[in-house]
Amino acid sequence: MADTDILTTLKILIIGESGVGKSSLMLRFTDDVFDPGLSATIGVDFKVKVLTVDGNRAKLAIWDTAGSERFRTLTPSYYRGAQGAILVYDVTNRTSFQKLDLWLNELETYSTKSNIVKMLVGNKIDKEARVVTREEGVKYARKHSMLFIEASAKTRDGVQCAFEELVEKIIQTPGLWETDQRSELRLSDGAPTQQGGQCGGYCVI
Amino acid sequence: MNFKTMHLSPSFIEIEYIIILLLLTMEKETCQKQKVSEGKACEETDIGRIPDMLKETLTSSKNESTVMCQKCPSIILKPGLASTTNIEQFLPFMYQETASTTPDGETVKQFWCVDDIYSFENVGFSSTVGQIKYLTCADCEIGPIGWHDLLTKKSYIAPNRVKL
Repeated sequence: MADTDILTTLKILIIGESGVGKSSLMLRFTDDVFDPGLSATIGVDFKVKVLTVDGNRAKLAIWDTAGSERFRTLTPSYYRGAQGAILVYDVTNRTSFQKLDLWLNELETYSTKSNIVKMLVGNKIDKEARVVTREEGVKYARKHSMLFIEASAKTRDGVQCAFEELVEKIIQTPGLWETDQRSELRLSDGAPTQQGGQCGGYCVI
Repeated sequence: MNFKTMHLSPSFIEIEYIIILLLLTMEKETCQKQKVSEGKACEETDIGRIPDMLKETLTSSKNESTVMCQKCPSIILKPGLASTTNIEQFLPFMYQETASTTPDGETVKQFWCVDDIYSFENVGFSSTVGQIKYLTCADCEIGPIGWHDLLTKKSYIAPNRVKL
C-alpha cells in the first residue's frame, strides 16, 4: 500500500533573487491554482510533494528560500544534501540574470553533492517587457551544464515539465540518490545512462 | 498479562482483553508490513508495553480513509499513516477577517499524528513560528491545516480542517 512504490526522496532547492517568482513557481510546480494576490502572512518554507516520472514515484522535498535570500542569510544547511537546484531569474529583470553567477557560486560552495543537477528557469515569460532573450538563457545554461526552461507561473507553460525534467535527470545520475527499500527503478525506453554524474549539457524543452 | 489465566476463567473484561490483544496483533502485523516497506518506526507495536497499548488502542485509531484538502483535490495523506492523538494546540482560523490584525483562532484538542514528514503525499510547511511550523495544503496553500513540532519532528493534522 502507501509508500511501497516510492523510489526515492529528493531534496530540491529553488534559488534566485527576490521577486523573480520563486514562491509562485513552487506553488505552480505543484498545482493548478494560481492566486495573483497571494500574500501569505507566513511564508511556506518547504513542501513535500509526490511526482511521477517515467512510472517512478519520487517524493520531493522542495525548499523555497522564503524571502531570506534578501538578507543573504541562506545557511549551508539549506544546501546540504540537495540533489537538485532550480535557479530562477526574471526575463524582465536583467539584474536577476546577472546575479546568477553569485547564486551558482554559492551553490557550488555549499552543496555537499558534487554532481547536483541544476536547472535554469527564465520566469515571467507571460509579461511583455522581456529584456533577457531566450538565447541568452540557453547560452548561460549550456556554459554551466544546466537544464534550461522558460516558464510562467501564471500559465501552465513549462512548470510541471521543469520539475519532471529535473527529477528525470537526477534519477539518471548514478550515485546522486538512493533507493528507498525494495523499490525498483523502472527505466523508460532506453533512458540514457549519465557518465560521470554531471548533467551533460543543456536541454531545451 | 497472561493468556492462560484468561482462558481458565474468562470474564467479560478478560474476553474484551483477548479481543483487544487479537486486534493489537493484527495491527502489529500491519505495522510490521509498513515497517518493512517504509523503514519507519511504528510506535504501538511493542508487545512489552501492553498497558500503554491498551490505553492507546482504546483512545486512538488510524486514519481509515485518504486525507485530502478541503478546498482543492490535493491528496495530503494516504490511509493508515496517522494515529489520533490528544494534544492541545492553538491554531489560527483558516479564514480570517481581512481587517483583523491579530489572527483569531481556536484550540484544537485532537489531531492525526504523523511521525515522519515523508509519510505525507503532499504537504507544505510554513516558516518557523516559535517551536513549530504550520502545515498547509501543498497545492493551494490553504492553512493552517495542522502543525509540526520541531523538537519531536512529529506532525499533527487537525481533522476538522481537512476532508476525509
